[in-house]
Amino acid sequence: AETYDFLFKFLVIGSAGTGKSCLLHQFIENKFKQDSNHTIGVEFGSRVVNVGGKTVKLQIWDTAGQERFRSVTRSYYRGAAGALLVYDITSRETYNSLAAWLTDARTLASPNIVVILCGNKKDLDPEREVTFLEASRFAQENELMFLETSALTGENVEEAFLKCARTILNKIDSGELDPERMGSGIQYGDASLRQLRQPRSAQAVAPQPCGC
Amino acid sequence: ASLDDPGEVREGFLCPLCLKDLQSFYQLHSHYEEEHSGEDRDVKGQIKSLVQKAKKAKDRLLKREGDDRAESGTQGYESFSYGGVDPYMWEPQELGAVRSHLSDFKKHRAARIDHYVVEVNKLIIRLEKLTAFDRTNTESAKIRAIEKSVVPWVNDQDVPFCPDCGNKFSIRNRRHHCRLCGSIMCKKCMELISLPLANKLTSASKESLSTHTSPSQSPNSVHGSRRGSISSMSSVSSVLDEKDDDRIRCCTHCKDTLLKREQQIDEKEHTPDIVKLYEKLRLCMEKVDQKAPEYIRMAASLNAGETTYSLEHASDLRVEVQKVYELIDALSKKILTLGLNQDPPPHPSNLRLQRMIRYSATLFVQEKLLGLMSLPTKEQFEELKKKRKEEMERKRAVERQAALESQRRLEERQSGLASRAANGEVASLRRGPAPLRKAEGWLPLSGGQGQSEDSDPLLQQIHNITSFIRQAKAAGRMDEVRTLQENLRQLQDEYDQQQTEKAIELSRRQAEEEDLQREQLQMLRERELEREREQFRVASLHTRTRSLDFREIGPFQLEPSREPRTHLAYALDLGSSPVPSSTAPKTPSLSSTQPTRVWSGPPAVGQERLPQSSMPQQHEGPSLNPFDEEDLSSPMEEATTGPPAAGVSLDPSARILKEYNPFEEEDEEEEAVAGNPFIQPDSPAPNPFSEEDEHPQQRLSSPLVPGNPFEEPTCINPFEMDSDSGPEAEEPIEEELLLQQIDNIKAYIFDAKQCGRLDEVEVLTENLRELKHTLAKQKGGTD
Repeated sequence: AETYDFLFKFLVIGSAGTGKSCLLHQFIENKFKQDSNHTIGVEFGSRVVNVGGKTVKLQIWDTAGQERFRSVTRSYYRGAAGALLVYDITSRETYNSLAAWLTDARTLASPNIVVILCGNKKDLDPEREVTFLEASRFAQENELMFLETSALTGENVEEAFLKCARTILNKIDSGELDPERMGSGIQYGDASLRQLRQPRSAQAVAPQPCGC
Repeated sequence: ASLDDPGEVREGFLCPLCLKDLQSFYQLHSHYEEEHSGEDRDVKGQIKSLVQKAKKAKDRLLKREGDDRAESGTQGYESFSYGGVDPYMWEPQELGAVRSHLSDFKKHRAARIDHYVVEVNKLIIRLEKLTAFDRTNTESAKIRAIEKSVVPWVNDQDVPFCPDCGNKFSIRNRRHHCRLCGSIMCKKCMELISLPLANKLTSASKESLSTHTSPSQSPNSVHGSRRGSISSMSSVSSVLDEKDDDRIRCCTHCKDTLLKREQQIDEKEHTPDIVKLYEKLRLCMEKVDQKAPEYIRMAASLNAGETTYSLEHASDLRVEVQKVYELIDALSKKILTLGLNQDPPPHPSNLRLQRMIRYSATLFVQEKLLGLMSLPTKEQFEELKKKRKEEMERKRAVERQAALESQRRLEERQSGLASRAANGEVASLRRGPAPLRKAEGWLPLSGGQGQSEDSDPLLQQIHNITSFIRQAKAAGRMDEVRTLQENLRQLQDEYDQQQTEKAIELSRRQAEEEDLQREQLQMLRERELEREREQFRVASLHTRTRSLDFREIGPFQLEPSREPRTHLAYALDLGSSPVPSSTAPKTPSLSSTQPTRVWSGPPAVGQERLPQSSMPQQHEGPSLNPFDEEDLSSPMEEATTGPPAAGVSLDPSARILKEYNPFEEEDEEEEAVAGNPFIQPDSPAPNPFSEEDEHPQQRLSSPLVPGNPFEEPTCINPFEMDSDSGPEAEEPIEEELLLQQIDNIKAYIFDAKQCGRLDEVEVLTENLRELKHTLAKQKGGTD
């Protein structure tokens, strides 16, 4: 069985056709998903990554962007530790709806959810409708991390997931996030449990009766 | 003066009762006998014993003092501490009033220390001055002048005898001056201080008592000059010459004082052997603490057959650690035997300390040495490596096989599905290759794409998850299986809840419909009666009775609640893909819609076949997902005004919305047609039978009004029609349409009541009255 220190629940959200499933596919399979259909409901993927010396298992729920699945996808927001908020740099419409998605994530998931903004389809730069600067400003204003990704070339795809995971780990270290809290989207893996169970190295020499 | 006065401490033979100082023991004794003999016996007894003890102590002390003169200093201290009254002889006393004497003690001690220290320092300062210049290269006369300037010499004439030995000074027994205090003594009693000793004393004082040194001197120059004098030791000039270029004359007392200081300095600088050894021991232990864990880590890894560390490196480290252990052992042994062979054996507590150090060192070595696991030999290591490699390969093989198996299973399933697809059962099916598995990632095939898209998204998701679970199980991903199963449970709970809500809603609607039916029935009966009274149109009467029958049957046959249940059954039968659920309910809905049309216009049945075929489709949407999607449809209503396509649209949301089309159209129709009666109530009533074929368009659309307008929750449109419908009200109103409109209005009234819109209820009721009035008038008119 796999061993890992933490298990994070991740979400991939964003408007329809922004390439969320392709991002997930690229992240897990390292290849581009050709002729991808629209997602029905919510799909699932998992991968163990190494972040900052810790093994972290990411359980990723890839949601459908279509409106008609909102009632289903919303139920997956609960207890997510991190989210990839995806828009399409060649579609201003998908960019414009980011605020609504973000509100959804912050209200339905936890307010502490770590969100990374992903401007996908970076490879289609000639058709770009949203500039990097504009999006990064949006990210800054909303306290998001930001990357432009390409599920086609794989550029920044891994980075996006890892960056998000790293931020969560840092927040755990700093005490900002408590993995033990209900609905944090974080679980201890069996590796960390084993560490806890392991007895400390034999205690130092027992204090000798002093001669005085 | 009392003892309480902190400012005064009296010493001497004090009378314990009157505190009078009586100079000697005998005087005190006689004083006590004389003055206090008559006083309290108790006190007297106590005092007596005290006095006796004091007497004894005094005797002993006097004796000791005599001995001390002959004996060396160190022994004196030890015996002194055991002398006097043994404290253990004292009776235990209760603690009385307590008072701190520390401040007194400090004050007195400070005075004494100051006195002593100042005396010594005075000598040192003088010594420094005497050694500050280059003695060898200075004339004796000049040296003498300097020496005299340091301390005034005692006049020769004042001292006829040597104060120490008492010999008379003469030409042969010459007077000598102490250069440090200026006093006079004979040559025999004279002492000499060598320059190295002088320098040692002065330099030490410079470090510790820098405030006492005169600032004009530079210590370096002193050093240099002294070295020079040491090198010229070979040419020691004679004492007769009286030139002391490498020593300084002084009296016994000054020399004693200086020697004591020297001893002090030595003690301060000297660290006992035991401390030195112990420090070394601690260093070794720290080294072990640091190295041992590193070694253990290496050894564990090597013993597991890993190749992270090299065997050689580990064995080197092991040797190093072992050497440190040996050193610890040797050092502690040395500490244990320290001073055992010395003539005066070490103090017992010293010995105990040594024993404890040895003990703890032994424990340390035992504990840590045991923790050092042994390393495999080269051959063993090779074997371990091989074993591990084999194990890893086996593991990998097992994994590979599991992956292959899951792939095979998937393929099997897919081929099974494909054959089914070939049979025409499922049109487009799951595509894509078997799930690609990487060591660390897992992504199930999304099975949803080919699946019927018209179903409830929740059901689709349940289906997705079930498919994922199957795939995860096949891939041996127990973690994922657990997560997914938990999710499935949640989804099913949600679905159950949704279904319960739907069932409740449906039964409510059914009850409402029944109410309405009853009302309509009542109304129709009234109409029948009216007609019967007229007794003109037998045919029309016939039609009405027929329609009445059907109206009664229709709504009950609808019973849509059954449908979601069957669908749930499909969903929970998790293996199979849901059969298009519309087939089963088609029949009842058909039978329900048909009569409605028959009623609205019996001769037109043939014409209406086309729209009729789309009707079941319309019902299919709401039956699968009838109520929860209402809010979704509202923003998109304008897109749904077109007539419903008979075929299956790709977008399920559009289909859901189609359910609402009838009402939309109905509203438009109302605006166009139904409003007429209010504008032109006096227009000639048309012949309902002859008109039917003249308005095929109207009829075509009118049957679309289904028998159950109650599914529409809040339709406010009807209230607007009063104002909008004016201009088109030219044509005569068909009776049929009028009747239909009456029905509609009734439905709206009911709905408005349901929504609590009393204003609208009023308007509608008014409208209804008018309509009825018009109807009656028309009938009257045509007659």
